[in-house]
Amino acid sequence: MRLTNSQIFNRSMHDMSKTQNRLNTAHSQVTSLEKYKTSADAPADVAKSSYLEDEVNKSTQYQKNGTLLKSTLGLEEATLSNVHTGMERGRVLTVRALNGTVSAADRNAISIEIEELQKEIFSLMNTKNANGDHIFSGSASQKQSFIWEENQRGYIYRGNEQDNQVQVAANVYIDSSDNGRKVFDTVPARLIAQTSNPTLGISAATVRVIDQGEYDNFHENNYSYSNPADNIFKLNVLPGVVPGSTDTYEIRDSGNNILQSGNFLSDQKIRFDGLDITATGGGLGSVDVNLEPPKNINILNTLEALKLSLRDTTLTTGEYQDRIADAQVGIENAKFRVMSVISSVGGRNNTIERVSESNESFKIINQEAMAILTEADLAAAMTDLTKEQNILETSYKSFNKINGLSLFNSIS
Amino acid sequence: MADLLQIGSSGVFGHQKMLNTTGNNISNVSTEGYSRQRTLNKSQIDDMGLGRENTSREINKYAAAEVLLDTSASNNSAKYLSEITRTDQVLSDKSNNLDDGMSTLFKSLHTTNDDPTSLSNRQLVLSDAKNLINSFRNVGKQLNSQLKTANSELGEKPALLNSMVKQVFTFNNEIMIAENTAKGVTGALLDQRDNAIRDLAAEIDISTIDNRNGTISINLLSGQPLVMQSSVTQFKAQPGNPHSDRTELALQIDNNELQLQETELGGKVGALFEFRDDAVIPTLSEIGQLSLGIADAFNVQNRMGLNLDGDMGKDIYAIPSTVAKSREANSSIDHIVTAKMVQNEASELTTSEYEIEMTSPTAFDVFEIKDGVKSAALAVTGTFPGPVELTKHGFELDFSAAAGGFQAGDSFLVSPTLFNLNDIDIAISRPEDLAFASVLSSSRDINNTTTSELNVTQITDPNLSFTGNALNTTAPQKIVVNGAGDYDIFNGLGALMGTTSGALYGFDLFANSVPPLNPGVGYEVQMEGRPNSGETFNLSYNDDAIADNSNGLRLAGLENQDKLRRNHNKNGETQMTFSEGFSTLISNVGNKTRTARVDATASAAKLTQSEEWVSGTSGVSLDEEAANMVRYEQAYNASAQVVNISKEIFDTILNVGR
Repeated sequence: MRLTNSQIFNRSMHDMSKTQNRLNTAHSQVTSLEKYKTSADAPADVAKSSYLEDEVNKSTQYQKNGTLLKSTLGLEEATLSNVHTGMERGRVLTVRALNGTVSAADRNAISIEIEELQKEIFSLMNTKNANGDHIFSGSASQKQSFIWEENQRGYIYRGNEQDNQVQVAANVYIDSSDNGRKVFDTVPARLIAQTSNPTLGISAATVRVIDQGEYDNFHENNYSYSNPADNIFKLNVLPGVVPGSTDTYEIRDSGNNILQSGNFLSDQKIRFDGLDITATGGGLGSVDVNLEPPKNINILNTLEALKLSLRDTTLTTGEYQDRIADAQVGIENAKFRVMSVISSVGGRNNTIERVSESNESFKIINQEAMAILTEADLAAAMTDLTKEQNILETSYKSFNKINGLSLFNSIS
Repeated sequence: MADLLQIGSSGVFGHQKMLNTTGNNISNVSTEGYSRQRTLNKSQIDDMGLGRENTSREINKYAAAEVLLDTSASNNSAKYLSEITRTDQVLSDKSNNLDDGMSTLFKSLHTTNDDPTSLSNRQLVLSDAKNLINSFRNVGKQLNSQLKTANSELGEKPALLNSMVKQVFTFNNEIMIAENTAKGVTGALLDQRDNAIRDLAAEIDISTIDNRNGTISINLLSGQPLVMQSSVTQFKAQPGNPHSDRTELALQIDNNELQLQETELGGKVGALFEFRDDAVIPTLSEIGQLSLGIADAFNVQNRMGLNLDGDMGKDIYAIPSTVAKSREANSSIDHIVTAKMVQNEASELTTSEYEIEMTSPTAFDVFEIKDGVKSAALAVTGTFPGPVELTKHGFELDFSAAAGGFQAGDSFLVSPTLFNLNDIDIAISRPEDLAFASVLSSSRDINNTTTSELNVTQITDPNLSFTGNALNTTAPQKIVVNGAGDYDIFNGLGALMGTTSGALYGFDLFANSVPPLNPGVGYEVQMEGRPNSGETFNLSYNDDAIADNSNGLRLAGLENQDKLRRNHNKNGETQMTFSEGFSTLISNVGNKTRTARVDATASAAKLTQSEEWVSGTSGVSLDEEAANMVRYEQAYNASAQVVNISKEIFDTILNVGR
């Protein structure tokens, strides 16, 4: 086939221009370290790489969230630890107050320390973070968590019950606070019983909890939330069968089953499942023994009641002991609640650690994948650059040679 | 009988001609489109010596026709590639990156979730939201300017095409005249006509017919005539119907105007149409769809929360509407049909175009045009004059008739996702208007004995139970655990609304209640823990919780949700996330560009091959011409010698007589 001059020239030019293009590509890869300039160079890879970059950004954001959350939880944990220490001190003081050798002046001194303790715990419960938000008020953080309410002569919680969450991974949301209602308010008070409704021969009755553990057990097994009538136990006093012999009593539950029976003497304590029931009177009669519904009380009010009891000189021994028992149980339960919140915070910290680690490894995996897809291999790019340079130089030389050949040079 | 002198001089003259032709070839070695010429001599038939010579071009008709086809194809793909490469660069440019704008917005949402009351954090969210829309606008602006450039280039094409067509016609006439002269047609004239035809072929697909009188008629590949024996047709540019901002081409044949179908044109002109209609406009639609999807998702989520003032959230972005284009044949140009996205339906939006045909002044049919195929009439909800909602397509139509009303046969075209991106904007200006708090809060009675909590799990429709920044008294607000362990649900007036069995572990209390309250309430709750009988839980309007971030968490969670509609079913998933939407947008154009690159390389290679084929026959090889020159010179010298000899013979004869 004939080869014309224009063909020879065009072919050389075409090939040189292609080599120059390749040289340019290699050069731009070396300087920018990116394999692809636009999406058309490899649409699927560029799209995948942009998706991976998104994931890496998300992981970084989640890490940041986790770090901020840890410092928030750190403040809460420190505060609760201090509260716990204060409560422990309160417990020690109640044990001292229960000591029989304590005089009225000593009780007064204890009550002053209780007051200081109360102020300290009050301040801790109203802790504010660096932004000025109360950490125990839930999401109503502009409101002070606990205040003294004159009408109720007690401390009430003014925040709400919403705890904000923070996202530390794609599907992991962690509570960033614990509201005061949960931590301090819903703490069970001491379970007690009351007497009521003395009839006929029984003129009056009292009941005291002697063995709190046994009574708590009885209460847990027998208290009915759905049917309040089941919580009334009847102490029936029956006159002696033979005149001159002692009266008897029987204690029946709401289903009229006899739980306990025995001899009855007026004003003598009847021990019944941790309770001491004392009834005055005799002959035929009955009195109701009510299992009191469980109540909640917060530590500030517990300490308030304790303080007042220590200062009240009109209390009988029994009443005094009951008040101290109230305070003991109240402080113990409050401590327990605070401890469980502290451990929940610890648990959350652990979760953040683990999630953080897995986020970090996802991030590295994704960055590696991104690099494989769209980052230029420096060694390969430099090799290409040198190769294309050589090719181009050679083709310049050969262009010269080939286009210089002509028959005209040899004729004439 | 010819004598030696005549024989010799015929040889001299003949070879002189051949040398001239060779010299002509050598001089024209670099001329564009030059076909080498050869002078062919025949021997005298009835006598001796060199007969008439014939100088003609060496051409291969079939190769030339092949080159024409390949020129059109190669110019078409090269032009398309150069146009779409710019679009690809605009979208791939890191500084324009829409995905970055989105990431930044979500980052600032996360930061604000950590401290929702901080006004500076909220202000950051607001400015990032605005920047996101700005980046959409920038990309839209650049693509629109490419669109305008393509349109104006199309507008200038008719002048170019017309002059080319006229030129071929002129050459035709000259050749026809020259054929009838003694000299005949020169190769140069024929070459020039071939060049003009090649230039025309680069612009548009053509087919040629050689006529017996030496003229060449040219038709468009789709059949319409361009150059005929005695006349030419002319091109015209005109605004499209109904899209008046898109240039269309028409052919003027005598007094008739023939609309040209853009898909059949080929060449550079066809490439411009393809670029405009198949690359830029669908990309603009996709960008519109993305922006509407994002705006709608944020709007709907913001409405489910409370802002810093304690009021229910409003739209973050203002959603624009699109005006439909009416056809010229419609009864009045003042009829207006507008399309607007329906709130919360953005995930149903497609990038298709829709046609609205009036069948009577108040009745109409709506069709979807996808990939050029018109669908069956679509189902609508609502009546004239609207708003009429297109179920499963995410938008509604509003009709506004000019004087005289709509007439049967009026037709309109609208693309709900193709709109002026400058019209979408932030609708709120105060950072307090961002709704990060949840509308509802739950609380427990102080004497609840367990630590069970009532959690608000979902707010699906804030319009159902909330009016005027307060919870309706008829909405469920109190849950009491009754004696049987079941949940009694009371409304704000204390009336019992329903009961949910306690055996269901506290999930979806409203949906599972007897009678079921959801759907209908617009929010759902879940009981965590096992409460005892008598425990009470309350729900209320969350107006004191300014630091609540539950709605803010949901706003940030939009990043991971499927909120956009895919245009083609992918393994049954019809939705995708925002970042998938961005990647799809960029890779769609990337794929088209990549295909265009392959096309351009392939058709350029084919063109090179056909050109080499032509050149093989018609190209000048200097070596060959040099060899020919030597040969003809020798022959010329020989013939000159013959003349010399005949002179000497004559002289001899003369001298005999002396």
